[in-house]
Amino acid sequence: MRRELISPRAHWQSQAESYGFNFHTMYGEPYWDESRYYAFTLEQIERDLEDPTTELNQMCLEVVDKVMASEELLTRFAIPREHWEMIARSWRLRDPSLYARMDLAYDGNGPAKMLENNADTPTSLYESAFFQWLWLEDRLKDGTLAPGSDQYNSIQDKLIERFAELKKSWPPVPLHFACCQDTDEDRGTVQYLQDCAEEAGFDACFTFIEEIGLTPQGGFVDGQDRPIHAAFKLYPWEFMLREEFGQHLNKSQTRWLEPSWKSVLSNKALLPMLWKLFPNHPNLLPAYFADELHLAGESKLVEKPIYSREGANVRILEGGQAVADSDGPYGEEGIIYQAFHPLARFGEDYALIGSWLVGDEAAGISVREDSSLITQDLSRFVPHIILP
Amino acid sequence: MKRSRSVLSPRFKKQATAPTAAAVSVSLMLSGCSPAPKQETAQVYKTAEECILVNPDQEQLCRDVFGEAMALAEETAPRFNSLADCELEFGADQCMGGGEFAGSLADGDQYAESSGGGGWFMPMMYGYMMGSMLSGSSRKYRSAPLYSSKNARSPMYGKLVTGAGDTVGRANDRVVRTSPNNFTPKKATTVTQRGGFGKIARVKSTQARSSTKSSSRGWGG
Repeated sequence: MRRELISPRAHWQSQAESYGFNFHTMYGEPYWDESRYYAFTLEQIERDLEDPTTELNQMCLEVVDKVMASEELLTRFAIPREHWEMIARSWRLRDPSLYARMDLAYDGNGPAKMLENNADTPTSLYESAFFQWLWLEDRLKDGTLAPGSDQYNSIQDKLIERFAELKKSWPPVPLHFACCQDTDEDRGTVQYLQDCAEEAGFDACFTFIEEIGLTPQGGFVDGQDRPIHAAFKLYPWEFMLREEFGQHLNKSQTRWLEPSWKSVLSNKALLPMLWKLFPNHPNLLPAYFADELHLAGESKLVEKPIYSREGANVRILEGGQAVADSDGPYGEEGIIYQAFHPLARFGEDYALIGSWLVGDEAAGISVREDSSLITQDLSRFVPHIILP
Repeated sequence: MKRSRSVLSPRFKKQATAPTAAAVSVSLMLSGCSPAPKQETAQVYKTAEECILVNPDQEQLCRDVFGEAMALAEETAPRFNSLADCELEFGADQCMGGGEFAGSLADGDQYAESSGGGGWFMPMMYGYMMGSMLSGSSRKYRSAPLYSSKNARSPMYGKLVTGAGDTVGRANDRVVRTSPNNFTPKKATTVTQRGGFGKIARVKSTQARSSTKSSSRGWGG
């Protein structure tokens, strides 16, 4: 794994705009950064990232199974009691999932370490599945990359296949796509998924989360009063379960993507549970619940709220003192500790691997760079290749 | 082979403009879920008098069609359980009582929340569209009530919307092209509430903006 500095393509911004990639620059900072790329060997991809992702996913599913069977664990995961039955049913019926992104610390040597599993509402999908592929095609054509350079990225093919499977197994209902108002990035991600669903033959419609309505019969409808039979929502389960309409989720007939059992996976209480079930697994970092801190032998720990997004409210502790932190609005539902593991450093930047799953299949990676040890929403997306 | 086989499809090409929330909801409401069926042209009037001004020789027809639209509005306008919910959607002073509540709004009564289900609130008709079709050798006219919102945050703001929520044009359009389906009256649906999802996101994004350098408003991770 190495980083190469190159000149960006002259036309990348106009290309981005013609494909509706409207969040290539966010908050005045570049987000898509093609002044560099990461190069991996095929062995690094297959042995260190692809296979471990498949295995980690299976391990995570075993945790879900354990949690569903234990009131104590559901409580530790801060799943509201009134939703236990619905979530357990969703798991028992194996309601199908769509996708997930595991964040891995990896520097090209030794095993990748899982930092967390964004199993409910992962973003950076469009850049990973689509735009970095356009970049690869262009850079092969203009000779910047050696012939035979490849990319670990079958995300889009797998997404379309996955939607086609869902379409076959569901009644012929339109699929709604929903995200919050006023966020270009989420809107772009949801539009991309909608495009993929339409490629797979779904009849798709869009609604904003805030526009969703409830009929007197207890069914959800979109902003135009069309019933929502099935919906992909880029909106966290931990919010939905606690909001006003949350009490109607159980009775409503809506099929959700991701399914409600994902609230157990996209929850950082997953990390100490993994360590308990698979101690010393090479792809895991030691992790502890807040009341088990005495078990931690590590001098450097990362404190994470069990619910948090985009690296918010994370603190790095050394000998009990915070040496780095990030603010944010999370933490009230509890925290966990995870052994500190440095991110790969290239020049002045830290690189984080996002490893994608579609259904239960490993599907590709993204690389994000940040100048800080805590990767946040201002990190930059950098394309990658597999060396010929 | 580690990569996608067929990433490019015309579907992924987009307009060059950034999707602001408003632009997106307009285009999506116009396109709906499925490809638009055959379109037809309809005239938009606010009152019978407007129609007569344009068609001085059709006074009776104008009055009949307006009356029909008013009657349809009573039956098919979107219904709300509270005046506040209706005004949130359509703007201040744009709503009125229906059923048991009909006519009593003018005296400034405070309504209790609907309990028996005999009363509701609905937007006032903004105008109506009048279409015609050939039926055998004679021409038949038909109408549908239209609504518009004065609340800039509503997805219906500045648009002409049918009782079933389909956008047919902009608020000041005089002629619209619309699917014939939009003339088929649909039974009024009572929307109990909206906005039951999304509040935590709003609170968290306010907190995040006030406490950090990060200004993320996305809810992905």
